Amino acid sequence: MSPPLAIRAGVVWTATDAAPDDGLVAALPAAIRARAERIERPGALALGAAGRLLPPAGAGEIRRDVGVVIGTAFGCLATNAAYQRRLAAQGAPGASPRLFAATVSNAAAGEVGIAYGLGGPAVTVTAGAAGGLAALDAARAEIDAGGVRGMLVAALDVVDAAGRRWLAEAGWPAGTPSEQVAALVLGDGPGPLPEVGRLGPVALGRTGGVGGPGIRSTVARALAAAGLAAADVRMRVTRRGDAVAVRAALGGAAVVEEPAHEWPLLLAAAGLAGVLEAVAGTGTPALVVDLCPSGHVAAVVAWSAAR
Amino acid sequence: MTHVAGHVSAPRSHPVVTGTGAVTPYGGGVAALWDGLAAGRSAVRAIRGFAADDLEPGRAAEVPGEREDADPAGAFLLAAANEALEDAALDPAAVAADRIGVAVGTTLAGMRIFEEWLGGAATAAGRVAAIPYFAPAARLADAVGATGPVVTTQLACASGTAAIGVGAGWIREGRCDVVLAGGTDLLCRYVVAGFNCLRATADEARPFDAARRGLVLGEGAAVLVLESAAHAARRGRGPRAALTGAAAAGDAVHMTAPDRDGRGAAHAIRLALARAGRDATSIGFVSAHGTGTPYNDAMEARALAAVFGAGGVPVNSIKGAIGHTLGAAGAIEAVLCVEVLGRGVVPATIGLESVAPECAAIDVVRGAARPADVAACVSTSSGFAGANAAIVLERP
Repeated sequence: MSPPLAIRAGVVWTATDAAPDDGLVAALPAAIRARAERIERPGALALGAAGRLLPPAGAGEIRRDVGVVIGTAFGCLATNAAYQRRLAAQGAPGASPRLFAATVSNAAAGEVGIAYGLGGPAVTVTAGAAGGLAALDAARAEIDAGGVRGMLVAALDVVDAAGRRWLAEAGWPAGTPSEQVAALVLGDGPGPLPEVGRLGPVALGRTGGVGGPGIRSTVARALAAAGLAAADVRMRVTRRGDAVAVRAALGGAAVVEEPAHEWPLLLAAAGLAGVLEAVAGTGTPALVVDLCPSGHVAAVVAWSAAR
Repeated sequence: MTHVAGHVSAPRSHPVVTGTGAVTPYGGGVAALWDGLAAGRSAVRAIRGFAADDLEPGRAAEVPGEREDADPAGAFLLAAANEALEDAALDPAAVAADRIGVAVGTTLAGMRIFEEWLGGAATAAGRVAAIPYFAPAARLADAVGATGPVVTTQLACASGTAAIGVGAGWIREGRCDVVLAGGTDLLCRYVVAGFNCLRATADEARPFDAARRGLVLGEGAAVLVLESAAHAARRGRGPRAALTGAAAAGDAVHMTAPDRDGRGAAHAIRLALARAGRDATSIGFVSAHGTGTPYNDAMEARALAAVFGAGGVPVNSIKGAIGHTLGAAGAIEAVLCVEVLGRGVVPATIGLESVAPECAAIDVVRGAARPADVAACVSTSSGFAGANAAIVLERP
């Protein structure tokens, strides 16, 4: 059984088209802010969130023992749309080098690595809207495998008009922020950061059809990995309305807490936001359960540092 | 033991490879891949699968045959997975569903569908669901009934190698008995126009060659069946290889050009070797990223020379033969490594005639295949945004 890992500080931030908020970027040091203002929004969100948690890199500084994992539901799809529209309208001459270079979902990880001198593992993962906890899992795996002492974990999505159209056509819930990011440091990062909680191993899975057998097994695996039983934890879902599915999968009697935020749908950020909410409480450990409309499931036990 | 700063865990039980499958521009199957490489054939042609008259260069390595599936990238992956499962003599229904995982790398997923959909074409619900990056892995998981971990890795052109590393980790940690790990990508106007506008492409790819001018794109998929050694032994299946180390590292230098000194790539290789408990001198073959671009190949030669010493190990690249298959590349190259371990032959690097001076420090196999008794090998990949990944495969 892997021992719990320390969570050191975290941030959650959302913005909408009606209420854009550039406070995340505005607070950055001048050089990083200038970069964030020039690049595509996924990279800017990642830089902004990292800026709340990490010191900028010194000149030429690259730390090989600290890395970054980005979790996302849709990656750079908004940037892809911007690039593709120009290509479709103008043919080959419309292909933009600046946009195309940003049409890789790991661009955000690359920006963070450069700005904050993180030369350890640089990974980007998606497991649908459970991408945040999938990122946490990948970060933990890197620390457990050795040669890495800390990871910045960020989960982010940018949802443009094309994204909203996709959500509607795919039958996902409506109502998600245009921009959303949550981030935390797992293990030991650069710079002194307080420990705010501890995290057990993440369990990942698939719903597995009617009755959600995969939900049951993912919950069971998360508890077993943390060395706990269901009676030892309070259960929390990361999206409003998911409590019904979790109760149905676990047999109806489970008490399930819902998230504090009002969004009908948070994407990859939901998992990390759920973990940060869980450790903000005190006392009983929380089992955070993250269900995704794509059928991905993730669960993890989190403890407050105050416990 | 290769030195890496910081604690490296003692090796746990390594996952084994019991089956491989591939769909490449040579056609379906691992045999077609090996035969094409052995024959020194290039699969690069003028693009025929989509409108390319205004694309310059307009050449790529396409998977031959008709596309009947509404989601071709997913179909490539399923075909490769089916071959791998048959090779492993493994029926997924015989494994507990939550003990099966799926880890897939891709850079494009359903981008061909996205091109049409974004333009306003009416698109069936099933095709819309195939657009996101997580879709191919989800489709494969649902096809085999897996309810264990299902993740898509996105490290640009290092996605496939990273996926194999992630999947191997699940088995090493005891979370899965079986993982289908690999990569898939499908050519489209979107990506060919993109690499063209970056001036990164050429009519032919000539890895490590003095006359190299750029990469040629390709498409395809590959899957490895990874199992715990105990699970394979219980069902009486001998392994084809062991996957003993995996690592990723960022350059942290530039968004589109690799670190000129290859420090990130070298670090990924060294960390993978350390996690495998191996010294660089024990490696008998390196499957290089070797895209044929001026910057990548020079960087990679420096990185490999730094890790393995000048001329220290035979190296090849298959991208001159089947193009750069993006998210599938690392997975196809892992399949190649399994073949090299078993056959004791390193295929020549197609497209290479005269090694560039800046690449002369490495021993790139060219002209003819080379017999080599390889006990352990490394596959390395790099990508945009300074991504690097490496895996270590060994004879069981």
